[in-house]
Amino acid sequence: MIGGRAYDLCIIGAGLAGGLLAAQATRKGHSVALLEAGSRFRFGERSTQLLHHQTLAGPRWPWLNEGRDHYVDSSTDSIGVGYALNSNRVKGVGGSTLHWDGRINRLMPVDFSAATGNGLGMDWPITYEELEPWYSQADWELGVSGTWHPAMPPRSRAFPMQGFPISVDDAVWVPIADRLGIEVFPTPWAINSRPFAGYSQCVAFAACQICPSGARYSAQRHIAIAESSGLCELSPETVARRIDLGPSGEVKAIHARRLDGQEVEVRARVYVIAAHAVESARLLLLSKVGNHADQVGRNLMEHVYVDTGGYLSDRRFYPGRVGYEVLESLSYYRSRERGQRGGIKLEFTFDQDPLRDLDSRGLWGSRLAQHDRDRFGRWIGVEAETEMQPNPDSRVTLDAGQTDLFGDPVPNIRFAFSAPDHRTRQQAGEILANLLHEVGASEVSQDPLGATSWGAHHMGTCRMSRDPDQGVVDSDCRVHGTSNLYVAGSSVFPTSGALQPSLTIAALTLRLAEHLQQVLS
Amino acid sequence: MRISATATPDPKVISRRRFLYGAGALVALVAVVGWLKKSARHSAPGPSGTAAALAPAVAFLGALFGRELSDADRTELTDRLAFAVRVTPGLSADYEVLARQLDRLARDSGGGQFLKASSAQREAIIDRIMRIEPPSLAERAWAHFVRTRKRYYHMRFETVPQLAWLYRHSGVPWRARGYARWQGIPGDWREYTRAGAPYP
Repeated sequence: MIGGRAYDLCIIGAGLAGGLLAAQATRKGHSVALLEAGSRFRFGERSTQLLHHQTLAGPRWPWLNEGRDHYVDSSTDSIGVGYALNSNRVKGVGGSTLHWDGRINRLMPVDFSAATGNGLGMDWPITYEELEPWYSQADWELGVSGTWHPAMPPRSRAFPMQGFPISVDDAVWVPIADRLGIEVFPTPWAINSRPFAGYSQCVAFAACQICPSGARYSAQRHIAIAESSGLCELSPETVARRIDLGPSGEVKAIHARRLDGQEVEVRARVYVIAAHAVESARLLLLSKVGNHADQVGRNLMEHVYVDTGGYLSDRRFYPGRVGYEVLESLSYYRSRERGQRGGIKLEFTFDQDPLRDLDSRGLWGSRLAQHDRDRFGRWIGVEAETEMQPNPDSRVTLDAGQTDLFGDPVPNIRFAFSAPDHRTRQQAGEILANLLHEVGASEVSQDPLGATSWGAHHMGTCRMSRDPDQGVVDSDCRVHGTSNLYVAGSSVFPTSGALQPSLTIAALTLRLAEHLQQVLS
Repeated sequence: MRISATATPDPKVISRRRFLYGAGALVALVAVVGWLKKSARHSAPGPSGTAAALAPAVAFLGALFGRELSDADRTELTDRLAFAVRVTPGLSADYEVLARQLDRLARDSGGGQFLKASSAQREAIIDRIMRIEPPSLAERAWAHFVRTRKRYYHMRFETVPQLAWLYRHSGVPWRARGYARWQGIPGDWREYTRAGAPYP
């Protein structure tokens, strides 16, 4: 059983950051205790998980445990729409990489100097140039298929795998982009375009919500590496509840409880919280650790999507056919005017299912079947992934009124937007409407902030800062005021950019692993 | 002949009061036995995952999405429903409630079972189910105490959306659109770089 001895490293959370860190530590010969609140889903059960998702979805997803994952959402009060946290995260060995698209980008260099470069947010305590080698290593650790384009950030090493070409449907945008002077290119994916790292090449390209073959990266790959070393003890269904911090700022132990009720105490030389933006902050708040400046839980960020689409009467596409739209653009990433708005990334899409109009349009029976025949394949859309500014009022707190199955206060999440966020979304809407006009779409509709318009990217709450009063961790990701407690993952992001966070999580984790190697040695 | 008030009554003679007591007890007994039988029927692990038990839900999905189901469609939907029932406690009861409601509406429209209804009758039944309005606050409170009302709203606003999700994520709509592959069906990933077959 875990906890029977002292470890070099105790990691809380077996997702992308925790799994990768465990692999790196064991490769260097360090012993690791890896605690994960969620269950272990065997790799061989992937097909069943996919079937589970396809038949049941919603709250019946296999990784949800109502008592453990309970939360309170106060976002409706602040932004007018609720946030379905449990539909936007995965608790399990592998974390959210068990169920993700696999789109994977680096942040832009300007994102690291958001305040000085763009006049918004704050500067990171590290630069793109400092992180670049770790980005390149992350490409190879995760297995990224990509084709470099001048609009992408500079890189020191080639992609490990050739990128996926644009689809036959994407090609419709190329002449329009040329006419408008927009650069479009295929996005990189953490999906094998050839056999890589012991996993096959993708045989359905991104179409499966849960990858049955393992061709799409999952942190299970790195957890398998860690466990096979014999140095990593993984304890699933084990919820970390308190950090035992001594008066000198040294963590003495982590107190956890298994779902079967068994108490667990883990002692290590170094501790890393990698439990994503909500639970990492919650654990620090429950433990009253790292919050001397009232920064823990603040600056919670997400990527809000602005979705616009319309219909083309003279052309039919092949949405959802095995394949996936891959085109994106960074031409509108930054505004020419400083301080006006955040980043905007465009993604081009054709994927709309007319059968979803079952309830929303009051269509069923033969009328719905006719609607599907008329509409399927005629829809064309553009989505804008938008940057959300760090905002101290957008935060995770402990809810005083509700507790989880162990009696601990549950997280209360409350997203809040600032004026630049509204301007970002407004401008994104204008850009998208113009693109739809240029392509000749009719019945153009736009959903600026709908229930499906979140990226499921939780960032902030434990942000990096040189000044201990402005953040929770320092540039090494060590919690201010402690000597052996670190945070890994997107919760340390000072700003969100408008690009998928996974590769930045991996790069920061590899950088942290190198730092911990020095500490532990 | 004097009859003493304390005399032992003749057991062969049944007074009116005794008759009424006895009849009342019999009625109560019949009611209790009936209720117990009904409860046992509901709680017994019946053949909930069989094709026969799932046939009404399959037929419902065909009617809901306006599609004449092929044998392949029916087999796939049955398999997926059986999986859903197997991994989710309580779901078979939800499907039974739906099946009873479908049969009740079929009887109301002059037919027998939903499974034996014509396409037009089925569509009319679907129409009635889909037009059920969400419960008001008062109705929701009332449904909290009345199990049949609770089941009624659960059927429309929980079971039907779950079944619709299952249908949309199955191969049935893709086959109808002329697709040969969809999520979870492996093949050549480069297929997306080529034009697909014409739509049916």
